[in-house]
Amino acid sequence: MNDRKLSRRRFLGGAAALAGAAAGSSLLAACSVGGGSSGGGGGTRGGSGTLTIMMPPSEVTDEVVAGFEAAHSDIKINLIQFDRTRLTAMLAAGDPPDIARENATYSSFFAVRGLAENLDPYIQNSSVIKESDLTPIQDLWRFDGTSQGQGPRYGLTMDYSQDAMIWANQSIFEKANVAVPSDTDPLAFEELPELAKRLTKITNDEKTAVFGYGGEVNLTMPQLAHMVAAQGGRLYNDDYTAVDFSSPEARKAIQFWLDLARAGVSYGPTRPNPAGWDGSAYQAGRLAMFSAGYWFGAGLAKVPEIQQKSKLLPAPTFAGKRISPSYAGAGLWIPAKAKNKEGAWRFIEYFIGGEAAKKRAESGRGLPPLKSLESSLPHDAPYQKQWYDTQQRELPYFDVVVVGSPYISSASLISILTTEFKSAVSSNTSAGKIADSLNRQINDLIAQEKDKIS
Amino acid sequence: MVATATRPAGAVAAEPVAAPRRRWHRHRPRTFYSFAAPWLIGFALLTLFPLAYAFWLSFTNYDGLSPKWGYVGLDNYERAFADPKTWSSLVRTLVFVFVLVPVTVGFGLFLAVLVNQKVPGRAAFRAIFFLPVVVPVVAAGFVFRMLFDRDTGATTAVLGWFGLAPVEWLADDKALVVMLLMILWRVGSNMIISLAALQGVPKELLDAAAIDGAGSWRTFFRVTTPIISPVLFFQVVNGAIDTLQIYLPALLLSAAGQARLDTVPGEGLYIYMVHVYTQAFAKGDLGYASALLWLLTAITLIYTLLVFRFSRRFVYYEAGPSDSGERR
Repeated sequence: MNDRKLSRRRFLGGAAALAGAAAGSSLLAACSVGGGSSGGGGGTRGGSGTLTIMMPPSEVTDEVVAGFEAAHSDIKINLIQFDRTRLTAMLAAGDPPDIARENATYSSFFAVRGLAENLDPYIQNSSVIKESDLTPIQDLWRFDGTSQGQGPRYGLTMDYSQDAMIWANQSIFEKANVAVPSDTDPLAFEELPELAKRLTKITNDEKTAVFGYGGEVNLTMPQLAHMVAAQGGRLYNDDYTAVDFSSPEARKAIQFWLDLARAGVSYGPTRPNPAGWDGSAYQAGRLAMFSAGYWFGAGLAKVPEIQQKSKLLPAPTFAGKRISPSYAGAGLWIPAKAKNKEGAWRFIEYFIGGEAAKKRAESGRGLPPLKSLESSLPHDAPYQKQWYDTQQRELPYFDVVVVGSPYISSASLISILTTEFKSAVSSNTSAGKIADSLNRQINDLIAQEKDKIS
Repeated sequence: MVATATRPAGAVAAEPVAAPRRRWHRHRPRTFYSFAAPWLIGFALLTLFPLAYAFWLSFTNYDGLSPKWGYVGLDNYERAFADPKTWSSLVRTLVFVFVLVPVTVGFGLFLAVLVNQKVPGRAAFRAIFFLPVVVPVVAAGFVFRMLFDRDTGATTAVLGWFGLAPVEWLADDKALVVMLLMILWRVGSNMIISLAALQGVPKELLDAAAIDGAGSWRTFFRVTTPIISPVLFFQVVNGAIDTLQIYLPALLLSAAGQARLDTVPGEGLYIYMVHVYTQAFAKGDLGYASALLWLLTAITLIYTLLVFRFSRRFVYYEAGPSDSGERR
């Protein structure tokens, strides 16, 4: 009996201890965001151990993981889905992944906060990625403490496109009896709304069967910076501490997007796309023109009838300087507090300069990050040849256009610009008023954020 | 003790029966705390500590990434009061609460009364009405975007039958109507709660009312409704708190299931939690977002206190806290 009582007491105590231990361990697990990456302490020995990569599985595919692990048997990849909130939490906790994703256009945000590793020493010692082999997009990862485009590199682009180029569905042009624009001479931005109007098809019951234009009909920093630069202007001051949307060049760009959104020739703030992305409308044959870079061609493989009738056109331009920048330049960076930097660099070499990069280039999924891979782009089929030739003619017009201030995040800019545009399109707000409001909001934000950076 | 005193003489000495119980009683508090401790520790670490930390953050300009951040006093609260978006989003949210809560509770009760009738196939009807509740909200958002799409949506087809032109439902304030319908579509959860309450109404009371000559309406409003009023009150309080915190449907209707950090709903869907979400995740202003959340907490508390105070007039407790049985 005494034993029974004892065992019951022990049981109660044991149960409580177990429950406490379980709660404690789950708490600890919750607190250690992302888990360790050194894999039994071997992570810092020449990069062996576990390598934590925060990238979309659509980019770091199972094939890439298997290929890398086969070539580097001492490294095990722990792939976690890219999630900006989680990345922020991991960075704030001082336990970041070993590799994270970012667009080159906004890379200075991490660099100025001391969160990103300088990759120059790695590049200098690399036998796979050579400085001389880097394409010009890689300059967007450079940051000297004030300006983007110069100084050390804090990341590398995996692939990119000249994103203002236009895809034309020739079938829709033929049905509308409209001549397909030339693939050698760029359209003027001013021509686009009228051309889109001629291609837009409204049914008898007032539904829109075909939109003339698609893309981001919105105020976005990359588009605005491109259009302002094409007119010889600029959005930021020298040290990127202030924007100016009230210049004639910026107001002209804002007016262009207002006119296009109000013309009813595209999805936009007052005509939201139910699918969320205009690319799917193009693939469904409901868009005559879609503004996207070379990368979009790879996505047309699943709709052969659209693929074969798609023609790639140069980026439109304003009268002035013809430029065709990248709006993103997605790539990889190594957080300064990453535990397995050596392993991270070995992966970057494989992904950007090795087998994975070659396969990606051969698939036509964007322009390769290295000059030596440019000839790998597909150009066998007639439509592929047209895309390839147009792209080759477009490359000399590539230009590094800075779109972000290092002090504020891309999400902040997108939020401010989109909110302003949404309310302006449905009202009769002028470009000048929008410019003033944007100046006030963004400059206030920059001033507020700059104080938080030493 | 009693067992020991009445034990027959010469009986084999045995363990007193009451002794373990006494020891058990002595250890009851310790046992209680042993079992409750995991939850209490979890509550302290996962609820109280984050709450206190968020309260502290509301007095800082923390963004999670910048190296220099610190105490800014009441700046965030002053900013919140001066921010027109705070007020416009709050008003929109309160309007939404005052429309949605009565409609969902009322419509849920209406459906519960229907499926409480003895009709053939009522189990099937219950399942059908409840089915939308088990559909993931992300899928529901996508479906509603498709239904209300201007060019391809089913609503446009219905409007067409009456010779009406397509309507851009997902832009401007009309999007708020779509969100209301999307939430109302999931009224099955209210129905189930009300149905459980209806089935708990004593049959003898309904029989007595019938004998006294009360008709169906009179019985429902004078007998059934008072008895189920605590359950309806629960739905009103919970529904309002839930509605004040709604943000996912707004993001989904804005972004077609691709809600991202930078998703910015239009004016119509810019409700209070979307404002908070935008400040916290799009702008990274965690300090300001924390201040906004504490303001919402204060509003929720005030609302709950007012409703509880007001509830004494219309909520009937069979046995109230004082067991007096009076109408409370």
